[in-house]
Amino acid sequence: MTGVSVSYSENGASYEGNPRSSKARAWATIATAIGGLILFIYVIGPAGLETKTLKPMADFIEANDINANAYYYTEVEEFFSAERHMREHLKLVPGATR
Amino acid sequence: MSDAKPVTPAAGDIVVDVGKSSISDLWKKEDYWAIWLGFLALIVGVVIFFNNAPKGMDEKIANANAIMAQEEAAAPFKTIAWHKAAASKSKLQAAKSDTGKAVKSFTGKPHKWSSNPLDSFFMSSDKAAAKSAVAASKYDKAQEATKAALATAIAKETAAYEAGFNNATLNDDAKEAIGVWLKAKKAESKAKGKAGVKPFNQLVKMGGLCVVLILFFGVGMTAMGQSLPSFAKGFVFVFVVAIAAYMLSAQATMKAYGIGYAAWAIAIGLLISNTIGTPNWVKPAVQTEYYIKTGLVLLGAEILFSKILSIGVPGIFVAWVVTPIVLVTTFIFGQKVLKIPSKTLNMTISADMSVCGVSAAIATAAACKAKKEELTLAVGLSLVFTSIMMIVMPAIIKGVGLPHVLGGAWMGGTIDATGAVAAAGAFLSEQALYTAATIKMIQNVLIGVIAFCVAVFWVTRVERQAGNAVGIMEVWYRFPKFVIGFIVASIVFSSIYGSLGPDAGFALIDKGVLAGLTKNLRGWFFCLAFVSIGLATNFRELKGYFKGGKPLILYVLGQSFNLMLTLIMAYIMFYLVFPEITARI
Repeated sequence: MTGVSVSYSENGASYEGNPRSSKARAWATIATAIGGLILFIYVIGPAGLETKTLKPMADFIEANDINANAYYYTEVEEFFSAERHMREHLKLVPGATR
Repeated sequence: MSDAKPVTPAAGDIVVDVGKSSISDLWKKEDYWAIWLGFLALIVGVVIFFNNAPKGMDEKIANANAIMAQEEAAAPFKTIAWHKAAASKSKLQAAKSDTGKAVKSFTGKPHKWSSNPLDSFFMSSDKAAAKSAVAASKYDKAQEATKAALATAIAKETAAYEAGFNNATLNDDAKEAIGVWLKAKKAESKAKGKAGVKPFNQLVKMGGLCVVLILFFGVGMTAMGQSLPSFAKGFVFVFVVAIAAYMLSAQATMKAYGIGYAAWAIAIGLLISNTIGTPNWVKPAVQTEYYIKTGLVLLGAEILFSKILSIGVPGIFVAWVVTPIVLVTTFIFGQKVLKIPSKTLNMTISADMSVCGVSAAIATAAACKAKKEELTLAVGLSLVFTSIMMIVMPAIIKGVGLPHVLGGAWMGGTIDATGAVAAAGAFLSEQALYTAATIKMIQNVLIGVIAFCVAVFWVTRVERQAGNAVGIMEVWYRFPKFVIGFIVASIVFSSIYGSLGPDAGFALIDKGVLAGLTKNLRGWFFCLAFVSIGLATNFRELKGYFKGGKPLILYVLGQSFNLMLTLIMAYIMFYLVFPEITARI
């Protein structure tokens, strides 16, 4: 029996071939992605952080609980201590803040 | 962001731009709704946190400042009393009031976790007690270490005092001992946090937040003619994906790699839309621009202009002179040399690379109406290079033996993501952290100016038809109105902060309105926007924007120029022009 090959779209995604097998392929892709993610979280990621290059920084971030993936200064506590330090230590310096 | 495909007018087509504005735009256009909703959240924040100011705040600040002034006059170094007074000021935070804590927790994100994702949402009393017990002995040791360090510091300071603070050796000994005590105190504070784990159920709170946000955004959707039930149904799905993105970014390994919620939100959205497809019932809630613009109005309140002077003139040169030069140069280079077809993509990558990564990319992309695929690309490039630079730059600085103030300024001016700057700076030294963080903070503030200038440049120059002048009404018509809300929020909050002064401003704004409410909401809105981008993007379309690798070439060459110019400027300003400032950092 030969399968009918068609192009069609559903929910905005485009599929080629037999609708039922394409749908199965879509779910297989999701399952593969979830598998890959689990592999990264529990195996590859931690192994990478054990390498000589990454380990010191990874340990440092963990030990000091730094929010290394923050996008703005208000999300990182270290920025407030830095600002306070600068304000207090640069008083009365020409060209610096008062 | 514009979802429309690029349209090239056919030869002979005459494009006549006629600006049309009507009063109903105020309740029918999402730009205005972003402003109304953004300001509603800000007003709610001000009402809550200004009414929950720390008790006796003004008196405590005045007392602490008096002690600090007295100590500064008495000793040539910062004494123990001085540091205690400074610490007492930083404890004053409106977000630590009972109401403040409740609001902050309600708008909170999934918690940090290592191996069990459920730890992100829920922690039982037993588990919290067990975790606290494990950390308790470390906390006890840290407390003892602080006590011992304080005793030594007191003894050394007393010896210096008895010599009338005229003995340089005794002064230096005291200063060093005080430094050791401060470090011990910091370690104790961290240990205290780990020993004081409290139970939580974030899942219930996030359920409540989802309902609140449906009503919050739903008002605007209804006014703009959309169905509230349809929006609500879809929003639940988008919100659940946003929770998943936040949960993944809160995983310990992801934090170490610096992979934030934006990457996860886009990735999960892309995976869904390009496999099983985004369900039709979800689409009414896929509102990228609505979420992003509302988030940007909230971000405006975090752009506080008083922060610009934190590190004086050298900081302004490194952050506010180099950055625009790199931005403009890379934009021109992209257009004239690389011939990047899309000006909006060019500008978004330039801003993302020269200013501060994801947040700058969001603001600029919205200001120049870039397409969602272009923002995705810019964010992706930034995330990859941030992770690399966070590891490589401290290693280079250490290897070459660069002074840490110079290294800090270099990293603060060039590493895109703010969190990565803190990690790289702190990894090097406290001095590098202080410089890097302050430079980055000043650069963060630049986002407001950049977004405004880009919006003006786009409506007056880029969108103008050759040979046609753009009238003032036309400029107004095309101008992205949410930028006005963004700028007004910045001006209003900067003014309030200025009138309060740095101490009360810290207690009521930094650690009140912003930390307690709007920062969290802004994060959720951006996350919802990135989920929406993923859910509405086709891989094939995305691939087209990367044609010829031009975005990557632009990023690499632009970042190389940025690295070179920032290093030169930092050296000139911190070591040749203002060495007295460097000496005090």
